[in-house]
Amino acid sequence: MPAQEAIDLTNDTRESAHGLKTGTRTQRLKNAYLDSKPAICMERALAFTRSYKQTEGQATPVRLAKAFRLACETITLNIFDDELVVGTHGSGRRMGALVPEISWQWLAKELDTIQTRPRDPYYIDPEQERLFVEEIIPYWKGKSIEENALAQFPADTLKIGVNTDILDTEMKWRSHVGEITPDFQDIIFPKGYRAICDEAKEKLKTLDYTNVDDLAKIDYYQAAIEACEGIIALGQRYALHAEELALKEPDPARKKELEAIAANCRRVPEFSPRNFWEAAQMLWFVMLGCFLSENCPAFNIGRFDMYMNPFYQADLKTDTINQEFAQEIINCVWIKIAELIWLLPQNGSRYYAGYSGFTNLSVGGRNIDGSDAVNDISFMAVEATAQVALPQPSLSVIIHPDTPEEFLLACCALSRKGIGFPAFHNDRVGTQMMMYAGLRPDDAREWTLLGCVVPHHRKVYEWTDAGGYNMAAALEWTLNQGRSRLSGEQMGLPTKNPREFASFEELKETFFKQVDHIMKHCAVSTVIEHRLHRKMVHRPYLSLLVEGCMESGKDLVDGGARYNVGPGWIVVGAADCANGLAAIKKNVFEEKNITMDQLIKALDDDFIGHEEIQQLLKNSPKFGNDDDYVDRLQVEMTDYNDKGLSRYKDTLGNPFHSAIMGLTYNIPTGSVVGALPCGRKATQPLAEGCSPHPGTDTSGPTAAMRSEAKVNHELHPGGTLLNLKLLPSAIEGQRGLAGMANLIRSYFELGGYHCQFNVISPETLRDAQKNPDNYRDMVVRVAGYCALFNDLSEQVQNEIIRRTTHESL
Amino acid sequence: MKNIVIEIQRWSVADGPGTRTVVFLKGCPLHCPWCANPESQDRLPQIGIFPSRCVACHACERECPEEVAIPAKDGAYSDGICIQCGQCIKVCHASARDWLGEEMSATELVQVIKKDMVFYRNSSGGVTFSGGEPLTQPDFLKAAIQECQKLGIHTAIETCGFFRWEAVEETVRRADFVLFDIKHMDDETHKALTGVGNKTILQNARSIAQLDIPMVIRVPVIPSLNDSRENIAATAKFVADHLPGVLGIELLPYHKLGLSKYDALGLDYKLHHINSPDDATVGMLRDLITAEGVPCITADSGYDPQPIPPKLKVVG
Ligand code: SF4
Ligand code: SF4
Repeated sequence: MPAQEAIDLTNDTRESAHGLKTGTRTQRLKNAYLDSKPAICMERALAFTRSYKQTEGQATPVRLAKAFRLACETITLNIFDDELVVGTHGSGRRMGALVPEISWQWLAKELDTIQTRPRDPYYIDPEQERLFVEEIIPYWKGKSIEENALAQFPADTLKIGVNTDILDTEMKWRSHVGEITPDFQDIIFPKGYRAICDEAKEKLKTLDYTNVDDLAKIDYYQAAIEACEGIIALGQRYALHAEELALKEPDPARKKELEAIAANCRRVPEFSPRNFWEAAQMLWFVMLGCFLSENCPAFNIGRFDMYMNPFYQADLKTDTINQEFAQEIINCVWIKIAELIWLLPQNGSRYYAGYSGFTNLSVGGRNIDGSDAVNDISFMAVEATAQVALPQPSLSVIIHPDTPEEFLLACCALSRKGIGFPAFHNDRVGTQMMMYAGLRPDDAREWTLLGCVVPHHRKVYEWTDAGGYNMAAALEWTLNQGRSRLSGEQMGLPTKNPREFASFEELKETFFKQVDHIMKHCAVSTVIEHRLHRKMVHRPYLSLLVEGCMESGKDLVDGGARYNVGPGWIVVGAADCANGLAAIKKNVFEEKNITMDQLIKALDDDFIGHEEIQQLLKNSPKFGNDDDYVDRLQVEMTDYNDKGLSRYKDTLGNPFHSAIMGLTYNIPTGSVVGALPCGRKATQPLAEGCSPHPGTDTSGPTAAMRSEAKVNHELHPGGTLLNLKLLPSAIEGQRGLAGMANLIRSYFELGGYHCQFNVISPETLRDAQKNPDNYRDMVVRVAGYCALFNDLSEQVQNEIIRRTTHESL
Repeated sequence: MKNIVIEIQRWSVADGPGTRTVVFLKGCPLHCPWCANPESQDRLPQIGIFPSRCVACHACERECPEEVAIPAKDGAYSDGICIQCGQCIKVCHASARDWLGEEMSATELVQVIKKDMVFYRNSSGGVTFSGGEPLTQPDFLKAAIQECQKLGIHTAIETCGFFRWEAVEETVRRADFVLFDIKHMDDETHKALTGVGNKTILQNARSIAQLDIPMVIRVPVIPSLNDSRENIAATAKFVADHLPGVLGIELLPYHKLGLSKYDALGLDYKLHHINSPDDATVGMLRDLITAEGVPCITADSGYDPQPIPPKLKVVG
């Protein structure tokens, strides 16, 4: 019998050995989270190192699985006060694990600065530091993916693709892949790891060492068994630990909780969960296993409401849970997810600010039979994000025409709070993207979100983010014979003197040649990395979580999954190119307002002394204002990302695909690009994902959405992204909520894929008043017009701030 | 037939039912000192000046045939008379000088309005003609309304109510929705505030109320000028007694967001000393209205007689 019935649910403030507890459980856990400092943990790296030393000569998948098992058997156990769902993947609350089989060199280089670096510093304990230097480094020298990739890249790929901010290849040689959605529905919950382990044992019995084809499968199943034993051991260790803590616990209420936690961990992850609380704990163990396996940006929770709701409804029926307690459990899971850390070197932290990766969690959408999938848990997930309000999980909602209005409105109400969540996604387009990636329509329908905006499915193996490239560099090279305008270095193809382009078409063709040049290096680096991953970093634990691997006896890296999708490359700066090309077309070729020579001089001088030309360029058509003149070019840019990339195939024979998302990519990529013909000055950020360039969509959200919807989103299974800024006063009251909901529904009807609202807070506006240079791009809509915030007088700015503040949302 | 359109604001949720495009037309018979769109008062095109955009290229100075233009930064004009020839605007790449308003035919206007069709359809929204006073050009407005209605676009008129009823009746009859402003119930004060008395306005309100077109009365709340309890109560009483079928009264709290436009036009803003009313005052005034049995239209109620969904419990 689940133990939660015995727990006093209303007793939020109670006396304990630790003194008076104040606030709700969620608040206390959140405070503890906020008080903890991100640190680097070497426990996992040590386990891998020690295990690897013991297993020299064995098959790589087996070695990796044994190392994983040792990590599960030795990692420090943590059960923090107030927690209902327990487990950490490092020695403390917010720990990033070093993964030496992928990359360790960066930390050796950055040891002196990692605690003090400006972006995302980490604490490292002196003893851990010593172990790293004395034990880990000496063993892994020459054995990491990083060292092998860099040794294997051809010289020209190295030149353009490492630390250049033109081509970011490091994604898959500095981090693990991650990027799977554990199959809770069909594998984990119905089976539990004991049954999965038994299945592997059965399979093993049918194989024969004398059959050449069986050898790799034998490795695979042996590794699978090790991985299962590892994660089962972790659960049992936690059960024991919770029992010990329960014995010592003076507070009777907490004692009961600890006993229940112990019982949960005795049950899961070894066996199937039988109730909601066990399912939540199971989910968490599955994720811990993921994070003990890999240090990476994105592991995915999947369709949380879909697989958790049956437990919730069953518990409600037997009266063993109530809504408040289930909400507390969900909140606890949310906080655990927020604790996860993706450890990044200095360079990477410029691309991905914040310690967290992207642990996406989707709700809403449709069921595999096409019916609407919203249920009680969908609402409680939205509520959890409102109550917990931390940067992770990335809450995504999938909207389709039959999504209940009250659910969409609840999501809008959350979004209006200004925390950026949820991300809204169009079910129809996501499904089409998955079909373009090769899924059957019925499978495709049950898609989920991964990372920030990537459509994904639990039966798929892919590299959703193989890297990102800077399209604006190709435009710069087109206008500078392949040379960087800032450094003068020859990076691109040595094309014709731009003053000699006979037509706009010729210029555009040259531009696409420069893009091709970048894409070729995208492909070269990815294929090399793909091959290295298949040789060096099998994924025995993760392969347990995806359908097809157990059946085929093949690891994920070797194409064991039911569906294999090629790698996705992210294009950054598409809108800057579209805007730039539009400005050239109009001013140089059509209206002849300026000559190419004048333009190039102005770019060379970063517009200093050419302010008139800069203004002319700035006032030329810009993507995001529902103007076909430039929107067509944006469609051409984005289409080309599919067309150009899909010419290449990975080592499993699957074509590369396009992604237009960008995260914070737009800042570092912008820093290496000189002035652009759209009027943007040197080193300024580029456009974000598929969005208009910041500050240039001045015609309101419907125009931005109509522009954005012209993009062929279905061609980009790596996801596309539209961020919109709104002032709270524009979405005030119930009619404001209805207005937001209408924006979303209409945008999706037009064929858009994703949108997210950035509701500008009064703090942001005040900061913009103090530091106008940081907010040059901020457009606000006031009294019927859009204006750059900086253009407004102080009195009007104050008026806007006042209205933003007093609006009771 | 053309008219001067100052601005087409796409996506508004506060100017009639659903999601709307608001068309601001030029020309207004009233001159309210709190007006947030002062460029709408004059019938003729005007040049707007935006000093913060000026890059001091002096192109305007070089091109001006009357030798009056100087950089917007430095005040835009020297002594002498601008003949509004627009030469300086043509050469100002920075848009530091720009026409306020653009001449458009009804057909051209509807081309823009219909772009957001899908947003109207999904929200039972449409277009709102505002200004200025859209009824200063009744024939133009009638043509625009007719073209919209052919496409199934819901049309609303926002009016100050000051017009000759016979001249506009036919146009008003065609509209699907009316937002009608009443600024003050006292004739003298009304005249002092806006330049005209309120007799015609109140009579016109009565005439429209006869037409069976959904109508909302809007009252700007300008502290110390028209926010007295007596005035608001009198307005509500007038609505209750004489305007049967009105959906309710919407209070529009005064704000200074239009201030930048006064600067752009080189106009003097007379209400610097007045601040926006606080929420409590507005709430109290709303109570006076409901006490007269007249519903209040607020951000939470919407304009539509069809109620919008009830308050959500999930995320308060
Ligand atoms: S509108 Fe004509 S006359 Fe007036 S300032 Fe401009 S150029 Fe000179
Ligand atoms: S043309 Fe425009 S930008 Fe140049 S000086 Fe005149 S107002 Fe300023």
